[in-house]
Amino acid sequence: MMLVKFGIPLVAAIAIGFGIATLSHLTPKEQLTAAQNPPPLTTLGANTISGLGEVQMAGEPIAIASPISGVVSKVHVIPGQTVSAGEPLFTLDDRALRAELHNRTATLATANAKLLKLKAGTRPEDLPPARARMVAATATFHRNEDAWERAKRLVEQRVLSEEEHLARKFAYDQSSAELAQAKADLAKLEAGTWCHDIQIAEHEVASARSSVEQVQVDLDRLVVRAPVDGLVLHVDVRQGELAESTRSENPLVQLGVHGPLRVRVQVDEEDASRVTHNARAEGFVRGRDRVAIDLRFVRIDPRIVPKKSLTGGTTERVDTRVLFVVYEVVGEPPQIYAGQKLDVFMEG
Amino acid sequence: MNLVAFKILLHDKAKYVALVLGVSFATLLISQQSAIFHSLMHASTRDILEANQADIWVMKSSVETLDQGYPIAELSVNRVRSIPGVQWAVPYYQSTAQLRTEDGRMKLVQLVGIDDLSMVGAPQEMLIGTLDDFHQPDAIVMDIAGYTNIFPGVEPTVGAIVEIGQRRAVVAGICYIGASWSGMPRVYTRRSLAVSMARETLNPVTYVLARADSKHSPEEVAKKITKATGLKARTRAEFMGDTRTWILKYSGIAENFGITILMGVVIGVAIVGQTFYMFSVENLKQFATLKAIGISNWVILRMIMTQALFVSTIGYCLGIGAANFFFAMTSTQLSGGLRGMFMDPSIFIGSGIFIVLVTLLACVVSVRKVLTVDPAVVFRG
Repeated sequence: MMLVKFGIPLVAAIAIGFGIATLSHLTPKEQLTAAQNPPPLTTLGANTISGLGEVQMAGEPIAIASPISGVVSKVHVIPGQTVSAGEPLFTLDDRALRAELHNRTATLATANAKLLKLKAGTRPEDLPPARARMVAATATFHRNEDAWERAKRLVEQRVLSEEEHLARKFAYDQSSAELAQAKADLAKLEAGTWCHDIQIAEHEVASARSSVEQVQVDLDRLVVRAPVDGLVLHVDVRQGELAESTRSENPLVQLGVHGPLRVRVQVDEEDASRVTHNARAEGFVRGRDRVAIDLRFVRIDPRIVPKKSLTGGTTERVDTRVLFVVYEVVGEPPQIYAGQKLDVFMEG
Repeated sequence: MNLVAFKILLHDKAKYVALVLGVSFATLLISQQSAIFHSLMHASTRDILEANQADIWVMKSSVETLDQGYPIAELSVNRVRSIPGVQWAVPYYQSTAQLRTEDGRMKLVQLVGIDDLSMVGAPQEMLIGTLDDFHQPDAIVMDIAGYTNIFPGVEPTVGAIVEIGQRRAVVAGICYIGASWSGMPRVYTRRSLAVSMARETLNPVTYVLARADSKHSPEEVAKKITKATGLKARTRAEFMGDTRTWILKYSGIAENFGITILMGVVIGVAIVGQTFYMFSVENLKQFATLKAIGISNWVILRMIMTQALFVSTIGYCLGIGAANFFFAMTSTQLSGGLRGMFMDPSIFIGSGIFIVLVTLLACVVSVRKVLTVDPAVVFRG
């Protein structure tokens, strides 16, 4: 009886006590907490436009291409190096062109020698034999002339036969022609080289020289040089690799122009109307220590372009477009690099 | 007279115990089922609860419920930041992904990508490791229930290497997350990593989480965001409400629990009513005697009400105590489907009021006979 009379209420009291105790213990506490490392607050005031910025070198980065495809034989620069205009960046393999150059240089030398020879005229040793040939021809002529004169008289006296008379005449004619030929030969030798031959040889020399120069230009094109003074941002080519002249993405070498860094800020097209010229702006580096960076307005790009990084979801509007606003980094804040992303706030 | 009432009540111990147990059983059924229902609704907004730094959620206008976030453009974060009254805004990524263990087992997991820097949305209760471990290479933080699900029989520890979306991931921490609606193992990681684990090629954001500054109310700022960006901005409470409404609308959970709770009520009323009826029928002679000696109906009714009140209070205390014992046992487990379930104080008190009222009603209905009994019954023998 006692057990029922007092036991049950006692158990009930313990149960409710336990219930109340666990109640406050188990019920989750619902309250807002502060974010551990919240994104930065802008100091520009209430009405701001926020955009995604990317740090770039002054001017657009220059993607250096190779003029001809070929295997790289030497890379002259490393990223971060300062180069002046004309300094070689990398060299392509030139063995084939060097051999070609040797070949063409030899051709030029031959043409030059030919010209010199022509200009020198008749070889002096050729003259005495020619003269001797003429003397001999003169002597033969005289002998035949005399024989024929004699024959003319003797045939009238009917001492010589008609046949002998004619033979002497033909011998005279022949030696007369031979004398003329010897005289002409000698005259040609004495006159030296014909001026037209020299002209032809001169042109041949010029042609050989230009073909040598062409190979030299080709050789020079194998050395890719910096077009401007700047900083090597990126090198994506190594000795022994094939540098393709058709490669458009991932440039072989990327150059930046020295000067204050610039920030290209993407603004959603729907906010584009709120962007104003010369609006004050500040950027925040993404990272643990988010220091504000002062920015100075440069320009608004006149074109709205399709945004490159879309989410790819099925319900995505693909024609999302962005406006680019260009700002310049004021001063030289430390730890800012080209390619870095910034959260940018602009006055709107 | 109340003493007499107690004497009558305690006279038949078996009936007294049956009455108390009937009430306590009904209380247990009603309060426990209501609490589980309430807890499930609470758990359905798990991510909102975990991200307790943000008071505004910004999403695509077609989003109806938390688990169904669609990707929005990354620039939306900046657009939200531009709105006056927004103290800060950060991206939040949510997706499901295929996890593969080293021995080749596959599991679908709920992937949550939190903002790399502000850590908004990170688990609140780290069991092993700290939030700094999120910055280790390929680091993921798994909830302990998910861990025991994926690695059954293994003592939870960091260092396990898994593959998520064909990408290497290292368990760098283990956290406790209460039960959620989907029940899938949860994997927390930096958003940048989560995006590549979900094999998204680009850089999406599912929600933008924002905080209103001290000068503006979240409602006001949410309206401004909706107006200026065309995205849907909801306060934390509104989004929780949306998610719960969606679940109630598209799942049978409300009907399911409603039927169980109704059964609790019916069983409770039946047991209490039936026992009281038997009780009063058996004690009819005693009541008739009381009436014969001139005690009014009203006093008798008061006596019975006192009995009922006493029984229901005792029964309620036992029942609610048992219900809370149940939650104390099940919900404090780190893994298991009922983890993090709790009894809301309103259910605690409400079920008490309800059960007392129901008991009183049941006994009033069942003791009509006593009130109408003819005192002459006593003399009939």
